[in-house]
Amino acid sequence: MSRSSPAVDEAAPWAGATRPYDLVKELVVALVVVGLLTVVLAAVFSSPDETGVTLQRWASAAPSDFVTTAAMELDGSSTSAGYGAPYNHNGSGQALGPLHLQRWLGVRIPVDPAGDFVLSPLRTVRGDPSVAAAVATYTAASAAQRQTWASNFTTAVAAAPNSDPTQITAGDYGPVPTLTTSLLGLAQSGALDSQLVTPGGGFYQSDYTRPLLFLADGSYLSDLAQRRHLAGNQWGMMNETGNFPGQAWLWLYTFWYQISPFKHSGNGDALVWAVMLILSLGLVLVPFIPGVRSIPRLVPVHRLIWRSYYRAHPLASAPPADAAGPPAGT
Amino acid sequence: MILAWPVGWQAPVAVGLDGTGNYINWGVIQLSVANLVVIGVIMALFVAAVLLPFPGGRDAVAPGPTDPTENSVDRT
Amino acid sequence: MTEPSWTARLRNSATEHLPPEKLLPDRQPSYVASWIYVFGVLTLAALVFIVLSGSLLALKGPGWWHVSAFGHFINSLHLWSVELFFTFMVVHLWGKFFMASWRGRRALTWITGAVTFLASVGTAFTGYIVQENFASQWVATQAKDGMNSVGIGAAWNVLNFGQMLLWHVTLLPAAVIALTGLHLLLVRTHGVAPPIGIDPSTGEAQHTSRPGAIR
Repeated sequence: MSRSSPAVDEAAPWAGATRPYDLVKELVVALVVVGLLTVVLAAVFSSPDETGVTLQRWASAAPSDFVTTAAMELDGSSTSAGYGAPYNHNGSGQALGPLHLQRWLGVRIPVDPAGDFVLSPLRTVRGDPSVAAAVATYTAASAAQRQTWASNFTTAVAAAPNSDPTQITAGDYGPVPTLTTSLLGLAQSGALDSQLVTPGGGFYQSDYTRPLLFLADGSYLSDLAQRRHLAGNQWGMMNETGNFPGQAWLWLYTFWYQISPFKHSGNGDALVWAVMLILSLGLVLVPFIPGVRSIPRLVPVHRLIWRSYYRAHPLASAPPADAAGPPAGT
Repeated sequence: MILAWPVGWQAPVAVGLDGTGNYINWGVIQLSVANLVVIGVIMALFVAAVLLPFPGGRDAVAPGPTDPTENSVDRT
Repeated sequence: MTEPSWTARLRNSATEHLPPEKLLPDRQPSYVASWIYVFGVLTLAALVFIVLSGSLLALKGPGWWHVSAFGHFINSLHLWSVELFFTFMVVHLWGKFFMASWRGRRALTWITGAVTFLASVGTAFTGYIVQENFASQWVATQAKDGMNSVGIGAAWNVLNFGQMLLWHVTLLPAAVIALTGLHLLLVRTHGVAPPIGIDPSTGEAQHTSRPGAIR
């Protein structure tokens, strides 16, 4: 960016007219105004607090969906089962062209949906020999046999009226019906919630990876979200439950999910991240981007902001042909 | 004290925002009324801030150095 | 003269760049006479109330506001101060953009402001995740796909409540506060950008053969 004349140093200290300015008073006034606004808004509108979904509530409110999901964990067709990194090796994950970022750090949070969500919790059941027998039968069978049983069952449930597992036709399901029904009972009792959070049987809980993955594998949570306009293709990222304002500042991030190619791409999340990373860098580096940094001069909002100063100190009406010539306006 | 507020007492809410959300659909755009209000307020504040006259313009004093490192002489 | 003492060097550098009169001035250029200029301090004020209300929530722990009406009110203060924070910050950003406030070697002021905005978005996001309610569950299970798609989902596990809570209460607010502080120091050091087309060393119109780029 060359200049044909000595550039004005806009970093120079201001040598023009000044006015008194009470910085501390301004801060105090701002604190009072914002404080009052905050209190009034909080008192008038409150804040949303829709109770979380426990596995118990899921199992009780949507038992068919719960059983279907449990079966899909077993036959490997659930989202978690085929997710890939960082949970398992069962999927290749998303990529940005040749960059397989999802895989690059490998499996760092090992989750085995069939084992972690279904079989391990069932092994803790006491006083019900049929459950122990079903687990033993299932784990003793070959991988192919397990797959056959589980896939047959998920297919049958999907074909049943209302996907009701109690109304499936007879078929070769092995111990899968017993496993999934027992897991349903475990969930409805409330025991499954803490079993998934502390798989090793620990006491303290702060990592909800497993129960959340299991919960999100079902349709119950997403149905609730869809009804509240929180789904990805509903601009959900910027919304909130009820009529509360959400995260309106996420409008651009969520916008991409509403249009092609992001909407239908298997790499949609990675693509959106790439776009937003570039745009965020662009925002940070505005002072250096030709064109963008000239917009303020082209869209002269500044003439309104500084209108009283410009009235008293007019800008040159036309650039002088020669910078060494007489100053414009004299 | 205040932190011992009785549990379970629900403060009356003047405007209940719970319940079914209201949404506006316009082509691919789906916007909640609440977010629309927030965005509208932001735009209105910007326009108002730029257009509304600012008081105290007459307080300007004759030009003098403002860089306090150069001159700490009384400027009134 | 080079002082051997690091302390003296730090003190000299600080007082040279930011003497008390510049840190806490009581005069400002006369062109700073528009309501657009108050949105920076309004954003700062909102941040104060975010931190205050958040600190009150921290006093009683993350579950308090679900079982206490007063706690719920404090949570509401936290939510609405955040909404106000972003509202004022966006107006402040638009204003600074249209005033091209990065001119005169003030690029770092713009950069710190933009990075603070991005850090604030991340902080608010972790706040939604640690609410311990339905919204948290949905936000977390959705966001994990974004994080995992670019390989950071294991190191920054949005399904790990404990990790997210600590990031939200300690690490991210520290980053936002530090960035805000740096931003404010830069504003005080470099002063308010002069009006476009005005030469700050005279207070009158610039005399250049062409406007040139806004640097």
